Amino acid sequence: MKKQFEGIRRRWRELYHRSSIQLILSLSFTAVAVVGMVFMGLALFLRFSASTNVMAAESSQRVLAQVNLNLDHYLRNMMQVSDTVYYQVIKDLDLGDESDVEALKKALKLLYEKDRGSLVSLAVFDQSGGLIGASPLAELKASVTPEREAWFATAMERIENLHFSTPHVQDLFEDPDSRYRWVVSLSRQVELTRNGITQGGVLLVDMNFSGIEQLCKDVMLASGQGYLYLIDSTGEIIYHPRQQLIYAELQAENNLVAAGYADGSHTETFQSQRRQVTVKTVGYTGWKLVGVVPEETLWDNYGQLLLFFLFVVIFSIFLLAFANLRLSEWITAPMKKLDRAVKELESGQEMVDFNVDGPYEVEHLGRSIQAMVSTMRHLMEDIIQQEEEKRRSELDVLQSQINPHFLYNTLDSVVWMTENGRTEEAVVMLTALARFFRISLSRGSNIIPVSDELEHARHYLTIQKMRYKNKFSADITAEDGVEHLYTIKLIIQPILENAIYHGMAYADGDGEIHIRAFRDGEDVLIEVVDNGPGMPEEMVEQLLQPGGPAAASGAKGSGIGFRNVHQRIRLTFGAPYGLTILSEPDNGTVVRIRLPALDEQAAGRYRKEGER
Amino acid sequence: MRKKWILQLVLPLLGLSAIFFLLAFAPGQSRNQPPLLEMSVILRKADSASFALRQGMEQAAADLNVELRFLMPSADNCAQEQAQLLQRETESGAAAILLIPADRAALAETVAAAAEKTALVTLESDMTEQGAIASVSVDHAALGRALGQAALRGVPDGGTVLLLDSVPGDNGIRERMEAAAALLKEKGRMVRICQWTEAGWDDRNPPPEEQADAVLAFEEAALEQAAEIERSSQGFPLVYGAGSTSAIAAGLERGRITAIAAENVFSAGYLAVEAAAAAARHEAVGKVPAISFSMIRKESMYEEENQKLLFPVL
Repeated sequence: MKKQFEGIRRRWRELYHRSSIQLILSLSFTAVAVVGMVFMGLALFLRFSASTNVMAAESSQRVLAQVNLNLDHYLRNMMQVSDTVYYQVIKDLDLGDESDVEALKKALKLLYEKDRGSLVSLAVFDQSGGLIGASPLAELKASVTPEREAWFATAMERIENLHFSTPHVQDLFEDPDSRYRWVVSLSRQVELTRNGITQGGVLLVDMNFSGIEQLCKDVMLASGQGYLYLIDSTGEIIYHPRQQLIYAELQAENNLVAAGYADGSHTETFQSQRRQVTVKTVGYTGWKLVGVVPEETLWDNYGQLLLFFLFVVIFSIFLLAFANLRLSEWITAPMKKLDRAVKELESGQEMVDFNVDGPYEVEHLGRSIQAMVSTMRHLMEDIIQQEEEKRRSELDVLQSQINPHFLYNTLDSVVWMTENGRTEEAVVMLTALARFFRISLSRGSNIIPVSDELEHARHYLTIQKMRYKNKFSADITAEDGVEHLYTIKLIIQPILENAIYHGMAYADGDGEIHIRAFRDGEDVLIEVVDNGPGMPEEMVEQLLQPGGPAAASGAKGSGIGFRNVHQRIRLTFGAPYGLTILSEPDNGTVVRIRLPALDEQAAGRYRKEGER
Repeated sequence: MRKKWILQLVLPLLGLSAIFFLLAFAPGQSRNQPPLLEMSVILRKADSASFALRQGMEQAAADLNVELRFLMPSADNCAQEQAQLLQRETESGAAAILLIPADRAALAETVAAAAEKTALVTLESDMTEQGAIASVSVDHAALGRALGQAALRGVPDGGTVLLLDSVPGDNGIRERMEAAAALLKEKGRMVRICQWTEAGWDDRNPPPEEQADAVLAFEEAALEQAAEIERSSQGFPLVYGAGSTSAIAAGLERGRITAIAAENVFSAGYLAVEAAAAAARHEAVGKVPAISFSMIRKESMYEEENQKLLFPVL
């Protein structure tokens, strides 16, 4: 149970996190409204159902009261017949006198004729069951013994009452037409006078059963869905609209239970069917009128009502859902706009509008985000600037690594020349050194024309050739137009330094270094070619790797210069540029410097702030 | 946007409006009432069925919304004419047919053909083997044996019992007679079968009263007739039979009939229509139990249960 609850909770949370705020708002509004409506609808429906039940019961009671009235009238009529026979005929006659017997028969005939539609027979018996008079048939069947009949015995036992029997076939009299009619017998004990002597007897009024049937037959309960039946005090059926079916056991009735019901409406379950049963006791007889309305017929009406309620609820839910959808769309529109703006920001757009035009909270959120974005941008620009400055600082550091080695060596040579009286050569060297440094400084500019860079290399070669006593020769050529392009400074000298220290230092006057500058499409290539001893492939591969092993650790031009130049070019112009080294042992080395072809305007972008 | 609007609002609104109109103006018009079913009832006799049987049928018809059409042959027990009626009704597309067969052998083919096209239920004589969906009848053999048993009380050993063969052909009435004959023979009584029609006794047979100690009739018409003959004669053949009309009840009460086997014909009529209607409406039709019957004598005819059987409250 707990696991299931947890599972439902988890799924709910997943759904919640996947859903949009508009959907959640719509569903929440709709759910609350639906619950309210269903509650209201059910309350109304139940109230209405209860009222309908009460109304149905009251309607049944009214119908039963009317039938009871009719039945009472009918029975009263029969009792009046009985009273008339007894008090106005029998009481006045002495049945010991034959003429009085004839008068009795005549009176019975008259009374029968008056009510022949309701009566089957009128008969007076003496206390031993002998027939004194009867109408319309007067001959008792030979097989009949009236004193053994139930109506006779009951009348004789309880003399003060009138007794109504249950329906039975009238079997007393010989009928030439062989008619067998169902009757309800009303019997009473009477006092007969014979020759002045009073003795007991029984007056029998056989009512036509069809009279009772007529009273009950066409009664409509619950628009014809219900029915009415009549039982005696023991539950024996007197009339039932489906009496023969019950007699044939094709149908059953809950009559024995109904006999125990008090007057009023009851609910019972009979043969798996719930029914509303209304009972009314008929006066004098103890009979009970029972009205039965199957609850399913009431529920049919309820069903229609329920359907209508359901329809109204569904209709309202639909309208509510639609209205809620629109409402939530309107409420969430500023939030959605804000969300879209944030997404645009995430995708890299710079001009994002956070003015969402919504309620206070959302607008405040929008403004806050915008302020945050602005702050972030400034911070990022600061960081970029700092990074740039850091990069330039690194560049300067790298660049500054060149000078001490060279200056130390050159000055050492000048000192040596001066000491040996080679003043002119010392002057040439110092002049070359001075020009070399002038270009090195270039008034602090990092970007210089290619011509200056080549000139710088030329001065360097002049100095080195003097130092190495012309062990090698060198030439510098440049394609037309290349000299006017721009490059970062001091990129050839470290390569020359390397070529000299590793290639030319051991040459015997046949060392050669060729420097050539030329265009290659949008790029400028400066090649430094020497015919020195070259390098193995693995050394070439590692030479430009950051932190790679030096050509000869601790030696001059140990490879630091290569990496230095390579990194400076790439830091300045990007990854496509830099050095390419082609070398084979004993076949010399070609170092190719690739630079972008920069005119003066383009070169300006790479100058430090304040450079000219 | 327009499409979205239509999908979101207009279509559901139209659907709900349709439901509203259905609910508001046609609330369950034919509630709990199956469609009217026309059922043809082909009787065995020319002068209609017994009153109680017909009332049973009409009660079922009222309950099940069935319209009954009673069809009678021009002569009693005329199987050929019944076959023609059955064929005609089948061809005219009767939804259900209730048949009281006069002769199973003569009607077998027609019944088989009709059963393929319509819901056919037989009453009194079982023709389910020929294709009828159900048969509603009393246990004829049991009824015949009960009558035979009753006759044994009035006919001494070696006495003669005349059995009235009033419905020629292969049918339920004959089953009764054959069962009674078998029992009587088994118990040492002489059994004679006499052809009988409403016109009277077959010329080939001598008058029953001169020949027999008891007469057994196996259906109402023959029993009524037998009771009349007995009253006008001076002899002493006891009369036993099956049936429960007013005339038979009067005969029983006046001693012209010694005992009767009264079956619940109201139930038979009701159940037959019910089964045929169910079959026509493609509902499950189970085996209809045999109709009950009671042996009634003069002294027991006014007992409560027998009153209900002999004198239907209609």
